[in-house]
Amino acid sequence: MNAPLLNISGLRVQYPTGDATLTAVDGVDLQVREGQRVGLVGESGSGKSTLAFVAARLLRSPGRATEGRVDFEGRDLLSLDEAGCNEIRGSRIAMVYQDPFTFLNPLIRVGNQVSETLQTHSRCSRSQARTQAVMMLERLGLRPGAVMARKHPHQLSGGQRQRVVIAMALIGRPRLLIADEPTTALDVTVQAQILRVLSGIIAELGTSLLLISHDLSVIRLMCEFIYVMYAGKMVEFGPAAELFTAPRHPYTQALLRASGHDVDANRRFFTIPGAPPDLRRPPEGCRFAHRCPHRMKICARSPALLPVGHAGSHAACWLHQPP
Amino acid sequence: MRAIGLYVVRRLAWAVLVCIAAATMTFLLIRLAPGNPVSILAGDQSTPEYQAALTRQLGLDQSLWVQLVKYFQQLGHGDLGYSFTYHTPVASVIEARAAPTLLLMGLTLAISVVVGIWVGVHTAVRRGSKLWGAVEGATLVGYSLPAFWLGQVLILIFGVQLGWFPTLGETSDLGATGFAHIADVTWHLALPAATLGTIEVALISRLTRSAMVEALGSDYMVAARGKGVSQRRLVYRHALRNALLPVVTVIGLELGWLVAGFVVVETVFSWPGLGSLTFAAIDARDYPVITGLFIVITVSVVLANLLTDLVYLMIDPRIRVD
Amino acid sequence: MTSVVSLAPPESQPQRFRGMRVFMVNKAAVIGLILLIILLLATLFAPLLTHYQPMRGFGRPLLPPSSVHLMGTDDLGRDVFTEVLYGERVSIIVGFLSSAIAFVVGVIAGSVAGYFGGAVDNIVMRITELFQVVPRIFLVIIMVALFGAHVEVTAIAIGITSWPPSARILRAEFLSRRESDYVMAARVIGASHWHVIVREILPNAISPMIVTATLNVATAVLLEASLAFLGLSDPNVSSLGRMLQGSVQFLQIAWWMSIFPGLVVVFIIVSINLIGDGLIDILNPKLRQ
Repeated sequence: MNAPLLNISGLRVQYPTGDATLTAVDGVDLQVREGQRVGLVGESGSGKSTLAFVAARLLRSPGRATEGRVDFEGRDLLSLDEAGCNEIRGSRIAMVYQDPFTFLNPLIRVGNQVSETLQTHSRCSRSQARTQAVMMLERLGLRPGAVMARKHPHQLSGGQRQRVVIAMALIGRPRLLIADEPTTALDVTVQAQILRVLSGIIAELGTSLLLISHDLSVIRLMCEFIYVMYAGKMVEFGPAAELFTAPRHPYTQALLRASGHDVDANRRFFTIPGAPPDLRRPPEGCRFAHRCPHRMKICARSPALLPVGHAGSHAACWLHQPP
Repeated sequence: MRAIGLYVVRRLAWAVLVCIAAATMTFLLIRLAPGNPVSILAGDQSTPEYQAALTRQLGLDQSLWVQLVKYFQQLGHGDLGYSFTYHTPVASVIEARAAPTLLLMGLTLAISVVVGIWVGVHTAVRRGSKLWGAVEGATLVGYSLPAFWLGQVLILIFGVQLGWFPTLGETSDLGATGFAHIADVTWHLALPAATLGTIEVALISRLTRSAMVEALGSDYMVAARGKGVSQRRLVYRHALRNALLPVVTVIGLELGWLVAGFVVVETVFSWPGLGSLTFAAIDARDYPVITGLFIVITVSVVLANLLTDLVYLMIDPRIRVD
Repeated sequence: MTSVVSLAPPESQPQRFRGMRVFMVNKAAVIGLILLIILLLATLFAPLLTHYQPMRGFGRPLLPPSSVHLMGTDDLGRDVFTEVLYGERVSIIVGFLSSAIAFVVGVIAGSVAGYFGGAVDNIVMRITELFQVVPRIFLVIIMVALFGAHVEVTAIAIGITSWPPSARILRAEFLSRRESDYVMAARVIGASHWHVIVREILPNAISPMIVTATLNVATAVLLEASLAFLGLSDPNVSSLGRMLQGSVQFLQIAWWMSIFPGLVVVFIIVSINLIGDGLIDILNPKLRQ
């Protein structure tokens, strides 16, 4: 069994806020193997995007990873300095972002923004980089590539911009692509297109994928292995097929029901009552306890833990573990 | 392309309108002021004959509309009136004194923009550093300094105490020619340029700094970092490129401030340009010269604004589509 | 939609004093405030601090600073310290008065333009642009020279040429709030335009104007001093700017005539700029790092 490509262990990420410290990610483990497509699902504020940005060492201050390791290709990224990170970013790890409008430089032509990745890392000449950028744009459906390359971001539609962002990320042939809500800002009709394009190209290039989303249908379409995060903690993981047919954690179950647009007898949408806890003063026990329909006495006292390792399906819940 | 053409035409039309409005403003102010427009424009020492001639020429005994028409007819011919202190047409007085101001302003502006942007970038990027933090504090002070006082301070230190630079006028050696003359002028330029330049650098660096901070915090910077782009390239190719946009805009708006600057600085240093001319004209209450200067300078500022508009057009691709 | 820094602290802190606390944390702004208060007190208590009368030359001219004349005497034998203390008054009065005038005009122009939009907005914006492009100092020079260099005239002249930036800011605020729910609600129940502008939108939109009004005081003080320097000041009253004009020819022999009045002008302007910066911190902390 070869080592995983990305191995996050015991990661804790904190933001200082006024009087208290907010722990956005609290002791989380996650793995992505070579060629695997992993999904990370959770709602807003669960810490999933924070985790994504930390993995690429792109977290904006004042956020800081205070504990844990992010091992990529055997090296702990958290111990690297900025120069070391720059070597890896774009060439070995790349990111696709949520809002393709704000994540593209409005003043630079998209072709140049795509070729910039190559120029930063490889030994090829400027014209070679430009040619490759044009080819990549065409590969992603932006044709004619030469014409599209000369455009500026504001001249493109949302879907086209996101293809540019994908091109920018993949032109360096990274081994791991981290996609943070890549379709959330796009029209529903465009979402499926982009996902299809993305899926095609990472299959072609053999890139591993870590896809972050709150949208279960997106995750279901793209990923084979899934992690579920809630309030800064990992609550369940497992192969997609198993997770979707038989979710173990009550939160995952609730999420599935809510996203399936289940209606109850009174034709009301199913929602999860209550709200996530304040991450500046997290509760001692299970963080989902106060909203959980299966809450037991032990849940408020101490949280169930996930087993070490990333095989099979497991949930951090006393329902599935001996107390 | 057509969109750009339309834009330029619109800005030109607006420029013309502004100049007309400015001229009208002075026209109205003189007629609204206490006292007789004739004596205002002819001076206290004028003879009755001159006053009568002026009244006829400007139609001061006729209705306001007739006066306005005559006024713009005059302006159309480039006639800015007659200076009763210099006994020459205002236009020639201004023409004679324009060169030294252009020299001082042009040089100072060019150097200040380069230095100011450089300082602004560094105070934005090295926010933690003590040195650059102190520089940033210095820019706040520098930007608050009255130009005429700073000039006097520089005279005291560098002119009087240290004797490094001359403190008066444009030249000391009237007979010098060629290289010696250039050296002479340069030496005299030093202190007035330093005065104006210090304040301009403070202003431009503060503008650049705040624009840079905004740019550096943008999402596209994260994306660029995500490509592994080096710090240097991030700052100059990405952040500064975007930050220059608001800087150019605001420089265009601050030109009026620059005008105030050179008026008082030229007065302090007796630099023989339009600024010291303003001072002399105020002293003598030579309104034809004052209003003539106002119109000429307004036209210059308007042209400068047009220029910055065009520069902005060239560097921001987003406008070209509209 | 999660953004990396969307984990904002909930508004559980008492909002009332949050502004004050943010202001106090900004040490520079506090220094500015203290400085300004010292300057204000100094001029208020001028008769107590100096027994000389302003504008009267009692001593020998051109004396350097001493225990008798803290800042020396000028070319007419006047005690510089006295002149400075009383001269502050014109600067401060013109500064605040003109800023107030600019504020009022700016509020009217900005709210009308931003609320009604369309042709009205267009016209007001053109006028605003006009006043912004035209070189301000010349317009003020002409007005003050023609109408006399009295405090009121100077204040009005500076005020009616300084309103454009604040009008623009207020207009932007109005434009963005025009379509808000509470405005719609007010209009639906029949509130007049006046009511909506003054009672509904203005209280929420006014805060950036406060910052601009503060910074306007500084620019007005500078402008007034410049005018006085150029000879346009009330000859019967002590004036810092005029002192700086008179000092030019004596720079070689009487540095105190220039340094002290200038320093006071600088202190007034710097203190107000610092306070203004502090106010920006309260209102829009995202702009500062």
